[in-house]
Amino acid sequence: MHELSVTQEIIDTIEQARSDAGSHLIVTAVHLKIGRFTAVVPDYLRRYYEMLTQNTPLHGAELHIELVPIVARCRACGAEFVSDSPMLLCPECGATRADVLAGRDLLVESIEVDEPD
Amino acid sequence: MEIKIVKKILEKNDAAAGELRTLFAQNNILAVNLMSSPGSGKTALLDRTLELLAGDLRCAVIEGDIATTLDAERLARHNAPLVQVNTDTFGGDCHLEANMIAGAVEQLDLDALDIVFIENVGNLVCPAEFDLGEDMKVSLLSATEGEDKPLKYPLMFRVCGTAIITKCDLLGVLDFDAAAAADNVRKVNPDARILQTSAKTGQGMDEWIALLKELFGNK
Repeated sequence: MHELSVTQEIIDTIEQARSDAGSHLIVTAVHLKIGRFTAVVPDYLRRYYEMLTQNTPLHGAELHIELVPIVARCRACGAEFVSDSPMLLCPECGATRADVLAGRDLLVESIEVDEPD
Repeated sequence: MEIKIVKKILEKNDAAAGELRTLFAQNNILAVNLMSSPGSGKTALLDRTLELLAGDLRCAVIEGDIATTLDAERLARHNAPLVQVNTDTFGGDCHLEANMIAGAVEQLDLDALDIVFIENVGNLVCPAEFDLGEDMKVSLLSATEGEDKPLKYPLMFRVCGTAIITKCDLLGVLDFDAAAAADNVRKVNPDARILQTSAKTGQGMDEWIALLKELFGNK
């Protein structure tokens, strides 16, 4: 349930961007990147977003969540590979020691804003 | 109209953690963040640790709980400063964040300390995501929880520098396979140091204390 504080951070960030662009604007879409090697559950983000933005210009925006796959580099042979699992097993040499290059991301990429009806 | 942002969601926490890391370094303090499920033995480990470090290293504890000061009361017999952080005042958060630690640290006399232990809120998921400016994250797994937990909660065991299998005095009566548990930690984190302890009998505590002293010596 730390998604609650994560969602609040997202909201603070996009509210800042929205009001900088024009205080009358409404947010129609939010683009997020969430790594697969995080402990953030996208469904909870959606639910909390809905809850926390009630009666604000952010409410009703569509949340586009891009799930970033885990990418790792094998320490033994240097091969880079994509892993569906947090158990990082090099497909080239079978070694189990690898550094995580991607998949830990938690990013607000962009928002889409529009004039209110 | 699209507005580009590209900002880390946890940027504020990461920045606050960075400031804490600097503060700890400036004051030559080793900061250790203990994380685990509720009831895995974080407080028991600390209780024993404070006893064994008494006279050698000056310790303080930041106790994180959703509610109550029960853990702090358990540790009050030691001559160590204690700061209780109750996250119910922060909306009942399931984890500690760097700003909470910054508030707690203000109440400590850093000149008079060598190690600050942070006992995180009992939770095997959320605390893993939040940097607290610590030198080392420690993830505990008690023998009663089952050896599969590192695979079920991989992030918690991926981010830790040390994993401790606790309550090892129970190994004789449980079906728990400590070697398999250690192997499961290695599957998600091949670099983790893995210790086996019992705060009750003192088993493995010498290795844990030696590790803390070594890390403090390297600060």
